[in-house]
Amino acid sequence: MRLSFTLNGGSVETDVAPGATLMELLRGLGAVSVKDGCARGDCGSCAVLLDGRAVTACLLFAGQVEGLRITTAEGLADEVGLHPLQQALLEAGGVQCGFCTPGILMAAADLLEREPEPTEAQVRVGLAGNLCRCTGYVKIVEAVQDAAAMMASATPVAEGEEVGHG
Amino acid sequence: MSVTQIQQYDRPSSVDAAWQLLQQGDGAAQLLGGGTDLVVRCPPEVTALVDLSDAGLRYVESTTDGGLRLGAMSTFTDLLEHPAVVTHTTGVLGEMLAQVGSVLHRNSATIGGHVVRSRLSDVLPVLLALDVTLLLYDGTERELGIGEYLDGGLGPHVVVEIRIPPRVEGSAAAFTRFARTAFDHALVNGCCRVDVRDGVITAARVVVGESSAVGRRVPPVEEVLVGASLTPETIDTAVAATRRAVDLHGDWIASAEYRQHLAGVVTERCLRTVAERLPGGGA
Repeated sequence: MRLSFTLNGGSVETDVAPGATLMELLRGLGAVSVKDGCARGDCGSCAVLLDGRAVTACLLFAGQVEGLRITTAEGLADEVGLHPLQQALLEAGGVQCGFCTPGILMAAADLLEREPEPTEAQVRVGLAGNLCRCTGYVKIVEAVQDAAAMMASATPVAEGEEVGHG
Repeated sequence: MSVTQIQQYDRPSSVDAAWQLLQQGDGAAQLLGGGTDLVVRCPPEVTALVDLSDAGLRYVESTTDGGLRLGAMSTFTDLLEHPAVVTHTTGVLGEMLAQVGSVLHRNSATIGGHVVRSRLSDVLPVLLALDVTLLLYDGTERELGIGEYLDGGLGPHVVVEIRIPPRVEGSAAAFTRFARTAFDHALVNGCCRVDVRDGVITAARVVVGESSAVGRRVPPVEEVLVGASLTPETIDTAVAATRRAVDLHGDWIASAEYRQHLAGVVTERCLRTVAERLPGGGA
């Protein structure tokens, strides 16, 4: 079946099998930040933004994204540099093996879009669907709050602009 | 991983068109809501998906009498972000929705899909306690109570809308769940609603669910409550009645005896919260 959508700001038109998941589609298109962890919605490592909301790409059929806007971790950084969330995770030591990191980035991006100054509890709720077997979460939670502070001190991004470093 | 037996994928633009597609293939077609359950548990006989994304079923409407109409394709996040939904009947819907899965799931799972799949649910006990009805379409529209719907036996149909009645004056409700972790399926969950007039309970709904079932009303406990005042003594009686009335299963996660005990705990916590939420508060 033919499918059209926007991926990291660019238009995509592609053929896909009717039973393919969004995770398979995106990885096939080269967005390998979308990790195949559990393929059943338990780990969150395949999280992407779908029209700005974080979802598990393994639990969606590819056909469900027709006409929608998808952002993966590949779409977070821009020509200026890393997204504040990426920078904060690096600086806080919130990345060890890195497998869960892209999914955590997308879940955190969704959270900060809706809650620019989250409490620790709000961060933990926002990341409840993302498993990390390395870090113990403390550094990740700190990094999300650090990123929120970085973003608050940065120039405001115009409403409706693609998620990115800004 | 791909659901490899799927050969056809349609996005009809109306409920009637969706129902027509559902008729094809004698059970081979399956309606698709959010997809979160269907992707991993697609029945092997299903070879065609009918995606309801374009059927105009993603909406939340308040009725003039204070009720709510939830389009079947509304996600849990849609509902959780709607002020009229989260405040309905002393906030019980918001209380429950905030505990369903993770944000990642709530952003894509739909209320209609959840009702249709009818499994592992924190949602259904609350819908049962609120006497929700469903608008179905199977060539014509008809309305059915959620309890009757969950009894099963229906032919092919589309769940169009979830209808939440207006709050009864003097009513309060509460939901609670008991799980090993916040993200895990509940071992036992429950929802209680009582309607009170002049200090006396005029109607009660007590629902207990467990992790492999959808939740059921517990009439013997409701009978204990109706006609009484919601005092600590009444709650104690209701808790004992709950443990006598429910028949929960045991498995590798928790024994039947443990779940039976938890059923009483859940009822007690719900009723104590209900008492605090009633006008005048405090059991």
